[in-house]
Amino acid sequence: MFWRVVFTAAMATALAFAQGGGDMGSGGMGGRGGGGMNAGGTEGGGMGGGGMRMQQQRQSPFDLFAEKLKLSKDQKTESLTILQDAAKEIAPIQQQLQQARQNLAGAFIGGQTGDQVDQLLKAYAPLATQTAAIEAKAFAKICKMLKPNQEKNAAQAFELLAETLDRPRMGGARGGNRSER
Amino acid sequence: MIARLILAGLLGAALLCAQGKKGGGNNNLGEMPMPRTENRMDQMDGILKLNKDQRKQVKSIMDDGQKEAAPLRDQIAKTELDLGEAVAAGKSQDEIDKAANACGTLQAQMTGVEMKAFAKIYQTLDKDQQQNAGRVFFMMQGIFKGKNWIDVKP
Repeated sequence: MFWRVVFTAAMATALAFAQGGGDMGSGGMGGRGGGGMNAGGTEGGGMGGGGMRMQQQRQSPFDLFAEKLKLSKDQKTESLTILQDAAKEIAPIQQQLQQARQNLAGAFIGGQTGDQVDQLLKAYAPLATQTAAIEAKAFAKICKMLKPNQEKNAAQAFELLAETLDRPRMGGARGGNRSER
Repeated sequence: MIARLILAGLLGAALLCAQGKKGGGNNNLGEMPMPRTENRMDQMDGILKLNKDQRKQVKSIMDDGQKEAAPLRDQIAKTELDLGEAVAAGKSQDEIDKAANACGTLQAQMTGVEMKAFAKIYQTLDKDQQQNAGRVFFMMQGIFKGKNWIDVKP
């Protein structure tokens, strides 16, 4: 039964990645449920009703990131390109991370503990480290184009960049609930 | 007189219709109804169609997970800030790698907490419900990163 769930999950992941790719191509990042993100817009699709279009005014992580750094229009465009490249680099690792998560869930459901679980966690950590390293590299590129007055809040913006890149395309997120600090 | 009564009746009926079913008169085109935001418990309930006991169990499992994740959550926030600072300050690659490594290790631990909670939820479900558990599996990633897992925040 669990493997059926895993299969469904894998199918959903594949669909989600496919959706994500489409959004990237249209100049946006991420995107959940067909919403998508754009350089100046909001996340979340419109909702049709009685001929009226209701937009959910929810800022995407990228919007928040850009706002935090007070990026100009050109800087936003350049940042998006950097993040799109990073997202491409991260995509295969994210798939491996999903697989590692499924393995962990399977182990817990199967009642495994101790060393077996530790091994799976050990397999997960380097993948998560690789993701963090790619995010750091992208962040470094963005930091290089900041003006001195924008550098002040740069470090705090990293978390938002990470959310922009590795927020899964469905359900929760690494930053599904941004930590309130 | 009868015509006046009929006219008054028609006007009254028209007014009632204009007010709509809720009768509050607020639901007109000038004021659009706000979409209801479901919290994560409602979302899980919607996916898994939990009964009353299962709902309690799931909430308890997730609350316990949140408690277990609390120290990790703080450490992850700190290491992400450290990594951001290291990059922004142009620190050496070695220092950046160390910070990235710390992030990865903590993320793995957090994933352990998330997946343990998912497995416990999975075990409370009947076979039909388990078929829909894949969607909950995806909800788990980063679910304990906020102060309360139940809140859906922008």
